[in-house]
Amino acid sequence: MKTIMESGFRLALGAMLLVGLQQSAVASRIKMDVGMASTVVSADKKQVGYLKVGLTGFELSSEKRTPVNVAIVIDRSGSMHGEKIAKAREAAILAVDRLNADDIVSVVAYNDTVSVLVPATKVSDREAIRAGIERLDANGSTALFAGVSKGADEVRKFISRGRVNRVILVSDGLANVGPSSPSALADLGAALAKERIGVTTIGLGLDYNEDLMTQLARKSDGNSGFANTSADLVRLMKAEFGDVLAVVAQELVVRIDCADGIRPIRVLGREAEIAGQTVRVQMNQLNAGQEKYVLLEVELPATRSGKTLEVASAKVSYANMATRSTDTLTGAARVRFSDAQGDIEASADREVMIAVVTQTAVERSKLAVELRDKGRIEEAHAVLTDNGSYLRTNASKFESKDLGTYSKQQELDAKNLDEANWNRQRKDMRYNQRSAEQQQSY
Amino acid sequence: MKPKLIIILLLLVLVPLGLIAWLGVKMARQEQQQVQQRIQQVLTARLADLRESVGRLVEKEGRDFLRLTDLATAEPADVEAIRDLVRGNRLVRQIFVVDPDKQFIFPPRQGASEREREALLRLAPIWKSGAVFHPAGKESGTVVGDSGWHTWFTGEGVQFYFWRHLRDGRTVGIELEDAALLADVIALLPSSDIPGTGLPAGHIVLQDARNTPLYQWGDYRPAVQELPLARLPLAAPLNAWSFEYFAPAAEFSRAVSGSARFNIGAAVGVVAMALLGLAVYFYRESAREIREAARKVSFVNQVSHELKTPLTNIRLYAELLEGRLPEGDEKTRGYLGIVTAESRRLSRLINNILTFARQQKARPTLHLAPGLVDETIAATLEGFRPALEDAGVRIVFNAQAGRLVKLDADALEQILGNLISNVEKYALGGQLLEVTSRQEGDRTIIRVADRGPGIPSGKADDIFKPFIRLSDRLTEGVSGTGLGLSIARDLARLHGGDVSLEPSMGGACFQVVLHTPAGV
Repeated sequence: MKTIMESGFRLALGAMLLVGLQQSAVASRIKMDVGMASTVVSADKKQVGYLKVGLTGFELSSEKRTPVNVAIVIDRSGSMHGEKIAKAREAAILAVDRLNADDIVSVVAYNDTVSVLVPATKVSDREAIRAGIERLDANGSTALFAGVSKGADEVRKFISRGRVNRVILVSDGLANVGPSSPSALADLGAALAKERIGVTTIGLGLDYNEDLMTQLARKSDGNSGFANTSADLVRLMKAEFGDVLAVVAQELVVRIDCADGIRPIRVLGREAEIAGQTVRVQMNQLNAGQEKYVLLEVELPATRSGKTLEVASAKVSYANMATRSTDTLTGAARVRFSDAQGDIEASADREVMIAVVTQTAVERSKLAVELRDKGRIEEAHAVLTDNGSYLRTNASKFESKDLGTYSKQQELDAKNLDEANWNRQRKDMRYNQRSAEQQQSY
Repeated sequence: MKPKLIIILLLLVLVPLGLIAWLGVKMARQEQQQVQQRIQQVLTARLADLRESVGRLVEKEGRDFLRLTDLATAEPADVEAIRDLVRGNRLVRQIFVVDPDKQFIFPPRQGASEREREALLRLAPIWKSGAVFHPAGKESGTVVGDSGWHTWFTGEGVQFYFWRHLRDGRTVGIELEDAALLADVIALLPSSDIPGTGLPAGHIVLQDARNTPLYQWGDYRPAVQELPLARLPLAAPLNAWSFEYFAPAAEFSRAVSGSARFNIGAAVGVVAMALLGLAVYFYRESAREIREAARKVSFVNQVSHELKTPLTNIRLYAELLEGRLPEGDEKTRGYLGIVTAESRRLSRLINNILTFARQQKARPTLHLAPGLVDETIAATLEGFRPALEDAGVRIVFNAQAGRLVKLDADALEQILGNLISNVEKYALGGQLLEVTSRQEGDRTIIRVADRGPGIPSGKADDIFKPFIRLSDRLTEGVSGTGLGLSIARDLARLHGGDVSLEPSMGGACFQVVLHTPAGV
């Protein structure tokens, strides 16, 4: 009976959307922008161009958000003992407090072994959930792979396309029981991504393996965070739940078909599949008001001046959480070849350029980490300093506050490459890189 | 006597006790082994359950893969459709489609993604080896008709492939995402918070080919070097993995076996107590008897002592009286003769008892003094003469030992007395007592022979043992202590000689040999 009433309501709502509220119907679709870094490029030479497919989430009315299905997986190994585990408990309880009775939550803790403290359940019995979380104490080793596997299995019990399905992992240590390499966890992340289960990884303290944690998050298209102190953990958990609760679109698949003669080279910052002329990028979620983008580097053929080429057509399909339908958007990008330097410079697209500059800076930052890992501190320092000035130049050129902030960040990073700061610094950099690559909400 | 008894009793207790203890230990050990076996059975059964559920999961995945291969090989080959299958299945890392000429249909030659090219690179060494996607060989694992598993050991671990031959000659291969496979197995296996096998807390480890734990659960924490109580490899294609069951062995023994060891211990204890009780009882009994016997001997000894003095007086005064008797009063003389003879006999008896009693306490000593053997023989014979002659026994004494030698005349008299008293008791019917003496060097040999019924040949040794008396026929109506010959032999041996029974034509013939050095 209730179902019939609900579907009736939904039909009525749909009809209303169709007939009357044109504006509202438009607002309930995500926005796609397809554009080149410059719409006019030099003629008669082979060159690299950047194509950006930007997706922006629509605003969601506050009372009708997407229900979530979250597994909180907490490291309870010996190193978490004391304040850390207390803060983890606090953060988990705070997070659960933000959920509604329609949401599903489970709490999994692991050390040598895995315990399902709260099996996947609707957040109606808050006391039972709270009691389960209160049981959390810390000792033993770190079976991270198994913890995530069990957490994912709890999510799987209620997995639904209508929910935000996510595993949130909190760990402060190195995995040492079961598969423990970044690549093994990356494989697990990739497998979970196929089920649309994102794994958000929050590293706590200075002893965790940031490469493992970011790989796991990257491959599963989850977020990542670095909580330097236990207090940060509570803040990050809040941010993560803010992220989870703001989802408006899921299962986003961006497909870019490059025109003949245009060679797709790579996608910056995201996992992508390039086969022939087709580029495919998958994203788990898009939040209200959030912009996520795919930045594709292409090779443009040498073309005579005055000719216009279609570079690529883009198509995005996604599950619209507001309308419960699968929507499709299309777009295309063209480029004109010219000899006039002024035209070329004037055609620069600010938004695309900011993305290009940002992703280029991320790659340089990664290079700096690589160099620093090899002990080449001087070179790493030089790369970061250059990166800082590159960002600063572009910040003023495109009047971008974000680039300016990022520039200062790079300069700060350059100063913290010494042994005493490196451990914390590396985690910080990995987190910032990851956040920029995925256009993470925090 | 007593220490011997204690040793015997101790042996009586200790030997069976040792035997029982040995059997008990053996039983306990056997029991222990059985318990171990039982534990292993129980735990292995538990692991077998787990193996089975993992096996079912893998079977299900195999069936899913079969469906997947159907989809992957729809005609015409749709590259995008196959890619969607890879994208949509967490267990599938890559799909390969190979035509009958072993050319790859998928991934496509043109426009393969980087991931697909990498998958081909991973496959290359296996593809070259020719082992992949075929049912033959041990490595290929389970074969389901024209499909099956193939496991390939790489530097990083095991890579799993599922393959299927199609009727049209094409082959479809699936490279598994091993992380997803492991995650599925982990999701299937219990977590630590799940109780309920009814067994004490254990610890089960799923481990890979290098014994590195992949997943573990259970509340028990094994020590670093602890050995598992049970181990079971998984079924193919996961046969490189195995389960190990760790548990506190002692707790499991208790849970599985009850208290067999305690029972055996208790049985041994009870039997030991019973045996000890018996031994103590027997010891006390025999000690009591020995004390009783000793008291009796000492009583007889004391009585004999008390009798000796009056008897000596009786003999002395009877002889004095005989001396004073007027000639012709033969009747009175006869009476006195009987008194004297009977008192002598009594003396001998008492002497024998006292000698025996002394022997029991300590070795008696001889009182050697110069004397004549024949004189002692004659005196002894004289004592018996009235009684023997009254019974019609003729006494013949052939005296050839007239040298002066060192001897204990009392001992010799006792020896002879005992021998002759036997004649008096048993051989009167022979009508003859023949005593012969001679001396050879420092030895004196005396033969005492009669014509009585003799000694049966088989009894020649027995007659010298104390308290032995021959058959009823012989002893009928005759009193005696059974000590005579025994004491005679003991005394003779003390005197450096012996008493022995000599063969004779009829009757008994005893030969007494004494060591008698020349006396000065």
